[in-house]
Amino acid sequence: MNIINRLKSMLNVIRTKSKSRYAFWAIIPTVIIIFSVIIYPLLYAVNLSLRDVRLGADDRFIGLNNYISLLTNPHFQEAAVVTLVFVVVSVILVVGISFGIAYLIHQKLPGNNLLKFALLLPYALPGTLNAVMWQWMFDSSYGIINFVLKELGFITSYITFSSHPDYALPAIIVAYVWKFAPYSAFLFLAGLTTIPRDVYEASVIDGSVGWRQFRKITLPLLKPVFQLVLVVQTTFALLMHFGLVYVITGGGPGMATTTIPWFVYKDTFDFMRFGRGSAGAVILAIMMLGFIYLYLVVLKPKRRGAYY
Amino acid sequence: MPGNASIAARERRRKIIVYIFTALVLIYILLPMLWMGISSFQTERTLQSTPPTFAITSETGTLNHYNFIFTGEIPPDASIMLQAMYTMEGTHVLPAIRNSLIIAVVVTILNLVIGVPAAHAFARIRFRGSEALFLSIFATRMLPAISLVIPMFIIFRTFGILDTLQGLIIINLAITLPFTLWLLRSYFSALPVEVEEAALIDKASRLKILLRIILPMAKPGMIASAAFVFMITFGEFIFALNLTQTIQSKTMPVVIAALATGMSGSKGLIAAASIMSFIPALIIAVIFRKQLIDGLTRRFQ
Repeated sequence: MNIINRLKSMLNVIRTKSKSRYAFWAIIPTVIIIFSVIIYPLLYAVNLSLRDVRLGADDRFIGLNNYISLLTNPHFQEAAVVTLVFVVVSVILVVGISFGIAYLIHQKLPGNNLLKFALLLPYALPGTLNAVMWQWMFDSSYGIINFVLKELGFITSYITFSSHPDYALPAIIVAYVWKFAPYSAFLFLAGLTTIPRDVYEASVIDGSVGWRQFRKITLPLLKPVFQLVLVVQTTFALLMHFGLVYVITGGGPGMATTTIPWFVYKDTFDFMRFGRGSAGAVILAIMMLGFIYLYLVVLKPKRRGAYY
Repeated sequence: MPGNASIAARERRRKIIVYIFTALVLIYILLPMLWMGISSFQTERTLQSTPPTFAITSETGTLNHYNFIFTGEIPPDASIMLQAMYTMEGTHVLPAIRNSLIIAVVVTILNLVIGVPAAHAFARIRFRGSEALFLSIFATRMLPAISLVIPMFIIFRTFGILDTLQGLIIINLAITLPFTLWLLRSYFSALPVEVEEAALIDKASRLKILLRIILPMAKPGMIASAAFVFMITFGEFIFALNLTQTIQSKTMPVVIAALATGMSGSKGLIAAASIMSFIPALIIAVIFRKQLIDGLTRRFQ
């Protein structure tokens, strides 16, 4: 007995040593890449944001002036409002539509697999192609949306959605929601399948069926999924709409579809204003870090599995 | 038995409703893509008209747009105005798809080579700060590309790797690695640890365990992460837009966006180029649909 224990502890010593060596060599390439390609440029951006880096400027340290110039810029403020509207409306639509689709698939009727596969397609379609596709759908002469609206009598003549002050942002939102709702549908579907059958059976015995069952059982049990989808979709809405704005509206008409990422991009590359652009980049990064914190610390994704 | 009959009627009604909605969702998802596909086979004259035509007949149909992409031949019967619409970007479509494919394939392979051991280590070995390190790496996934592209532009210019495939490979590798690590760790963690422990007691090296035991068991997970990384990289736009200058390194999304935002591009050419560009991602989605769907639902398991 004693000998076995001693052997075990010896083995453990060897193990611990080889263990940390393995962990080190397994992880170090990733750390180097992330540090040199992500973290270093990010710090570089912070540095740039504190200096006067423009064409013809003298590159001197100017403290927080870039930040002040940006935050007090009325166009930036307008972009912030547009971003807020875009994100809130998109997320609400994505959550509603994706939950509806997931609920539909969960009814487990034949044809489900076809629907599941169809849902993969918007996810697989590259963002730029999605933008081109919806530009085409909204086209002012050949667009199918104009055609359908006119046939149904909602409009009397074709609308140029992409340059209409009231319809440009909705057009972007429609294109965005189409691509990202299917993604959340999969999350909701996974959530729905984790609800055990007997919970439903018990609820039927208690007299809860139909809408009542949905409200009293399904929704509360899915609360964690809703939280997850809300956070994930909010970050997506902030990060993934750039290509749509680039292709469909170019930020216009006027400022109607100029979101913060678009504003920062134009401000930086149209005028080679790298200092102020970097300030915008840092502000965006801080916003996103807030959401990451929310995701990791408040929602605490559970994980299973054992360590050695 | 009236009770049973009414239950059956209710069940039938439920089914009908579900089918109607399923059909609506399918139309909602498939129609825009189908519309693009139909348009790509229609003549420019048809595409410039109002209202839209749905049929492809001998009158409205043509292969000219695809022909131009492959051969650069402007349709012989085209008017002068139409000839001008077949812009240079059209001949860039194939080289751009090739560039995107090279980048996506290399990045996918590198992701597996670098990401698999790292994800395995994070799944099985706990060391001081391992969870914090993992979360920090994961957090970089949510940094906006626009935040990184400005310093990247300056750094790339300094190193002289603007407008190169290598530069884009490095960037795409760094932005997809956190994703790979996160997805693969969840797959590795779900495997039974006992198998690995038994092998350790038999004095197998950890590398051997990884190659001989884990990889075969985690195959679906690796396929899923490879497919995701391929699709993300293939469609990456913001970095490619700002870090490329010529067709030497311009990728598919950059060329398609240039075509689509050009003032006078042929609409049929844009549609055909888009369809062509979707094919690689579509093939991946069709072949690996099972693994992809499993990977997408994994987030909440």
